[in-house]
Amino acid sequence: MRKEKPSRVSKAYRLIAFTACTLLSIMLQRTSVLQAAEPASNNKLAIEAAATKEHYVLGEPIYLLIRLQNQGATSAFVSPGLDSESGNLAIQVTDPAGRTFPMTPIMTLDEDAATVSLASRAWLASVVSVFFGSNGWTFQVPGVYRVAVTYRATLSGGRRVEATSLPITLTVSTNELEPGRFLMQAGPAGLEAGKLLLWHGGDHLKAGQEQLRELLSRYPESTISHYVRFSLGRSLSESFKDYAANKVRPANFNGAIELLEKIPARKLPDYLEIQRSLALARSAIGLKRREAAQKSLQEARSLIGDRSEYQHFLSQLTRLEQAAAAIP
Amino acid sequence: MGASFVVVEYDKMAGTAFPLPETVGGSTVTVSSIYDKVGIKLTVIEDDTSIPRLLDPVSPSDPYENDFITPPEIDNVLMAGHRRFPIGPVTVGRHTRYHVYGIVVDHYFQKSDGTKTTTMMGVTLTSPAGNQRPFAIFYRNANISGSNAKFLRTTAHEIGHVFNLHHEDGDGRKSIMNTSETVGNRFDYRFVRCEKSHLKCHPKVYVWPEVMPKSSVDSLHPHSHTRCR
Repeated sequence: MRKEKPSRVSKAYRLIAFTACTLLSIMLQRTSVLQAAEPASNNKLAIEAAATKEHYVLGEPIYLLIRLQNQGATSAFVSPGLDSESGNLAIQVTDPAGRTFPMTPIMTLDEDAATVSLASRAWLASVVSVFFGSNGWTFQVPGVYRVAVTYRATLSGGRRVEATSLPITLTVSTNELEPGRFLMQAGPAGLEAGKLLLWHGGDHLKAGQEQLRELLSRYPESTISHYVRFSLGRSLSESFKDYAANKVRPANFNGAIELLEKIPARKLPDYLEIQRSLALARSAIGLKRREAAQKSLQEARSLIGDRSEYQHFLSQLTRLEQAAAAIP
Repeated sequence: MGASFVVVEYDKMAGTAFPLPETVGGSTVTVSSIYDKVGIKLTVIEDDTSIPRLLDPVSPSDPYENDFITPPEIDNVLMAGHRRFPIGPVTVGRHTRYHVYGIVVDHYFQKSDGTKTTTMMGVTLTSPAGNQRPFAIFYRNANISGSNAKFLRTTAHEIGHVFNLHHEDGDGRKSIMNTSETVGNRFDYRFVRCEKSHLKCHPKVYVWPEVMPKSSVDSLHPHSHTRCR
């Protein structure tokens, strides 16, 4: 069979197509270099991450305090969502073996929040959980971990802003290994237990609930047991809309108080201590115990203070204070 | 090789709605037409249309409790609720059908620390125990219930997350995967450069819904597509 010779027209088309593709490729590379460098040069945002303590036990829920500061001389526009769920914070973890991986959240949230203006030297703050995400448990073995947080947002008009923290070091100690190993055991129960500690609720997570109750029974004085009592108690202080069963499980105020009052003072990070006080107050209001409610609310107010990362709790606090005051 | 297509089982609670088609430049835009433009055959089945909103007796400490839904309640409604089909791929002969689940809930969103928000429009859940990524739309949000255009866009956006697209895959201006904050009131119903690059060029197992565990997708498919820009 005779091989067809390419025509002159076909050759010309090929040459034009090749030249166009080459030019386009060069232009795209040039554009990507310019735009990749842009975030670092066009803003003076600085982000810091800080741990709540130096050493953690295996399986202990870890929360980080995040601060985003405008270190420029003029106001900067930023997205106010300082959390990983909105996609504004990307968290990179390097484990003791040197492997680096992203800690991604279970939920991706889409919000119609408005961009805010951050004055020169002003900062935003938040608390983020990093111990459990869409990949399961983050800190699975004892050792030294490094965690870096990147703030990355695209503002109205397409301007991208970005800042990365210095990595912080988190040490998961070899103390109390057994409760941690029991908590994070492979399989659905370990993953459900993680969700329960992350969300402080989930009546449908039966295997996880059983796992947490068994942990309390086996290791009642362990560090993790404080977090377990908090999550189970906080869950009972509120009703649960169970759409799978088509019914609402009402709050169990006595059950909540029993679990939450067993947690010794100052064993939880402030972020959870505030929620513990609010849950105790909510339960006391439900039982019409005015004095107990007001005592818990005072504790919550004192912990919130003027710390900007906790100011979002004030609306809950005010609502509960009004409800407590209305108890005869 | 057989064809692949996606079936979105879309439920809604009583008192809410599904997004209606929009007309843009004389053309009708639906969730299916948005995905059709990038070569993805996607059918939305509006299934259960009147799931009753669960109500608790009003509590003195939280009179608005019934208006909000918490993360574990969302997990419950998405993973154990009213689904007709199991989430995930189903092989029928030489074809593969991917089942996706979404629901319009008659609630606002309450964060796990108890903070109530009215600005959240949608959420996509990733189950650490499997490959499922169902989504929910918060109908109480004023932009969802008050603007069909934004409701339609948010539904297409959440399904984008189901296809492992991220916010930073958006063009920073008007395209589907940008955050609502980025686009404001000026958006279109198109996937552009990075979004198309992922949907069309990445290996199928990282693109099509519910195939790979999130951990595999995140480690092999870069979280940020900055090279596209």
